[in-house]
Amino acid sequence: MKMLSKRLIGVIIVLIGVIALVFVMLRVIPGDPASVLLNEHVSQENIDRLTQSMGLDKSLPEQFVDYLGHAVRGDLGQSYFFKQPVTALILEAFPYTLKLTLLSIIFAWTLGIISGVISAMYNEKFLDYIFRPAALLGISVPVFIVALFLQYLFYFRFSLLPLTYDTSLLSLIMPAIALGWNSAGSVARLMRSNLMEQLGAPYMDTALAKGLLYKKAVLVHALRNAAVPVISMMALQLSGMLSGAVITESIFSIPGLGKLALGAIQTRDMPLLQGTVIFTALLIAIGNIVADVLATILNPKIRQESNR
Amino acid sequence: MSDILLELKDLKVSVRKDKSYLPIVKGVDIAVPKGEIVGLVGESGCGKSMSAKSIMGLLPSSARVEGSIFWHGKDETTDLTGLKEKELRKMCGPEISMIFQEPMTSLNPMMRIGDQVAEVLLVHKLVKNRNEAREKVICLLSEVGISEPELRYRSYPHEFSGGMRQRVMIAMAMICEPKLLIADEPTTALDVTIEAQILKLIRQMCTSHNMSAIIITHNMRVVSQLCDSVYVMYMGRIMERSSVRELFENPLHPYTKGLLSSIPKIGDNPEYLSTIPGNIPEAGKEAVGCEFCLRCSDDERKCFFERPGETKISEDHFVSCFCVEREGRIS
Amino acid sequence: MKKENRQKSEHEFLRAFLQNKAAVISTVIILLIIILSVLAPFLTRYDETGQDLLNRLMPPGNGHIFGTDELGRDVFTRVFYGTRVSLLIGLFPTVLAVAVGTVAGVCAAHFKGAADFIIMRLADVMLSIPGMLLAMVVLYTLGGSLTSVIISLILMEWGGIAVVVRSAALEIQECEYVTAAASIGAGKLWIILRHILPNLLPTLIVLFTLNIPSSILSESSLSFLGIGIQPPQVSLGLMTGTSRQYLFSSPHLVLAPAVMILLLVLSFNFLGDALRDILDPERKTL
Repeated sequence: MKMLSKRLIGVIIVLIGVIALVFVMLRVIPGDPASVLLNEHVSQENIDRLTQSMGLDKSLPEQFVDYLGHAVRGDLGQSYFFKQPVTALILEAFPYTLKLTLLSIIFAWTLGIISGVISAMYNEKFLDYIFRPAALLGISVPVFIVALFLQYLFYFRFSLLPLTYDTSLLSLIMPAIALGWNSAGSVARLMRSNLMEQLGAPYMDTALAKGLLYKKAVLVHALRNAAVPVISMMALQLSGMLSGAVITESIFSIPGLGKLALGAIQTRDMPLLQGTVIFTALLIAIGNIVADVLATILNPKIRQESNR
Repeated sequence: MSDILLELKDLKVSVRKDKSYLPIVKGVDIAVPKGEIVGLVGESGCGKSMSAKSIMGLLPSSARVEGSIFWHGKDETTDLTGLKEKELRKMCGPEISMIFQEPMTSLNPMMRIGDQVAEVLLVHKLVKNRNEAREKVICLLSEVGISEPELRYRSYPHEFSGGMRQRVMIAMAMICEPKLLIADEPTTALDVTIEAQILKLIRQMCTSHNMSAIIITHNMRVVSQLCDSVYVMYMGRIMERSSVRELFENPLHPYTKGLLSSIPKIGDNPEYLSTIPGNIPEAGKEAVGCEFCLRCSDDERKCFFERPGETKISEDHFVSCFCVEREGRIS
Repeated sequence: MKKENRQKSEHEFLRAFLQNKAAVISTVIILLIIILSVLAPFLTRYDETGQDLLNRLMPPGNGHIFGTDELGRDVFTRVFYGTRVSLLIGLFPTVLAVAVGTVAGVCAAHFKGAADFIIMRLADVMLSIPGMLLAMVVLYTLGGSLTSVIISLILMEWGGIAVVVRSAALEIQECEYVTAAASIGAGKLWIILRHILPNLLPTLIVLFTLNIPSSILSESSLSFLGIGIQPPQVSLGLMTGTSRQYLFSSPHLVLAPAVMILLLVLSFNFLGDALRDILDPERKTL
């Protein structure tokens, strides 16, 4: 429990840091946001009034404290472009990204763990020589190339799947594969190297000496030991996936967070971009904590230490 | 030969390195009689662990085993090297079991102690259900000297000390009442006081369950406390074999003499601690002559070019050294 | 380390490197790509931005090895000009990111306390924003250009490098020879320069090679989305992005830059992997 609360405090510090960084980085830009927002033919009076109502006449630290105060209450400001609260826009987009990310995590982990295990068990044998370069290919292909390749293959050549997202689960298959492809590769690589390490551990000899068949010894004993570090990597994976989601959502027209952020750049909607970035950082923070808790549950040693 | 349980015949183990095979064990004959404890002594890297692991089929896939390992069961003799994985694993546990050097890492850190012991019973389907296994395990845990076994059943390895873990390993090895126990340096990683307790426990388990054992060690003290007969191994070959008493009273091979005189005794001149000169040569080198000639105190030219055969000294004492011929000790 | 020893270890490294097939093949491919893209102006008679509206969307052949794009520009020429940008993006920001990350990591490990806390929290902040989105913040402020892509790549990468360098430096600091050097009165700077940095070198080389492909990937993704490098500059990602609409009618337009990106990233990843196996076998989870 104590460890968890310590982690929590660390996460909050980092989140405040994220807000500060994004806040400052988006404001070093020269130019007046209020005049960007209104078009050119407005009087200076109107600009001043808007500037004041947006709190832009205050100093930067004051603005930051204001923003932080609102952000804590879930208010991330007003979108320039949509003229709606940023929080509402984000919450509207989030379920799409969530669905996409969950699907691709399932895809990535199933494929990654299975191929990593096979690769480790048949080390330096035929299957390993297939799966190992495949995993490297997995981490080397950009998301957009996978996406375009899938579109070409499954939409154009075989007409099996819809080209873009149309709210059906079927239309999420290609995006999920495109987004999960990289992760599958890195999960497979990590799984392989961890499992290889565990296969050499003395307890594997013990398991064999007990009379377990090699395959069973791998699955019962080594796999669980190898899985813990892979799970700790989950948060890192999540970060990569949210990055990839920007591209995937843009290619497949999924109205998720990534598309929102990309649109915010194109429409120069600063509060929206700011809100989306902060929200994704929050997601990663949550992912970090979940990964920690999972690792703790799975690893008896940490579990007992954290109970004390 | 009905009183022999396990017989290694001209066992050779070699390990692949790059593209060639390095010989580690170079033709070893060992016989384990029923109910006896056999010691296998030698410095690290001499191939004693490799020989033991080859019995259980625990060698990595890069190792190659030649020769035969005969298991004299109740009605039939089987060659363990020719068995399929399934058949061999069926024997591991109920017939042969093994304990290892590193009690710290030989237990799965993610699994409860009790479950790890119970796993043996469940794998070999010797119990009907988990509860029955649990009862048996708790009973055995207390037999190997673990207090509060019901409570300890649910512990994880990291909560145990090295000695306690080795007790768990012994329980795990004993639970199917095997006919042969292989202990690979069972006390090397333990304190001397704990060592005595563990050795006593092994001895006790062997006698009470009428079990044979192979004890692999580099420690002559362990041999003297535990074993009935002993094989001295150097660079993948047996140098001398005899009963423990005979070996300690009448060591013949220069290497055995060296090993024995390396045990410091009270009253020895502390300024001069006896050692065997030289270092162990790199494993995997095949010598033309005697493997020990480079470090031997009486280096005859002959030893460099010709390998001495095994000379029978008495009914249970054999030496592979030219020195016995020279000194005319052949009976 | 004595000079003799280092020379010997360099020799051993070279031997191990030459024995590693993946390392040799990927190095050859990388060198080939570098040479071809440097010589690109002499290999083709076309200009990378020269339009030829009469010969738009030509299939491969007819004097255009990879055909022409929607403005009649020669795809082959553009691919190699794009590769130049990719190589620049792969090497330049990565060098800077490794430099920043190393300084930050070594300082954190060496000064401990408040400096360590601040540097590591800063790295955490960087790491908890998904790379793409961090880059988008930079690109929003600075606008899409080669320079702003380079800046965002440095920001994206230094944090992760600092974390790895810090843990490696801490490990080295624990070593006996560092304690020994300190005990004979060696100064802090001396210890860092003479003991810690040379021993970090293998880790740094591996980090560097493994960050090259991720830089290339990030740049191509940003440019693909149209927020990275802007036309008329050429970039493989940008080429893929703009020819996306011709995916089904002229797939070669997408294929040519995509294959080049893949080839680059794959060879650098193979090289990085091989170098890690040779130099730093302990550190598997980079």
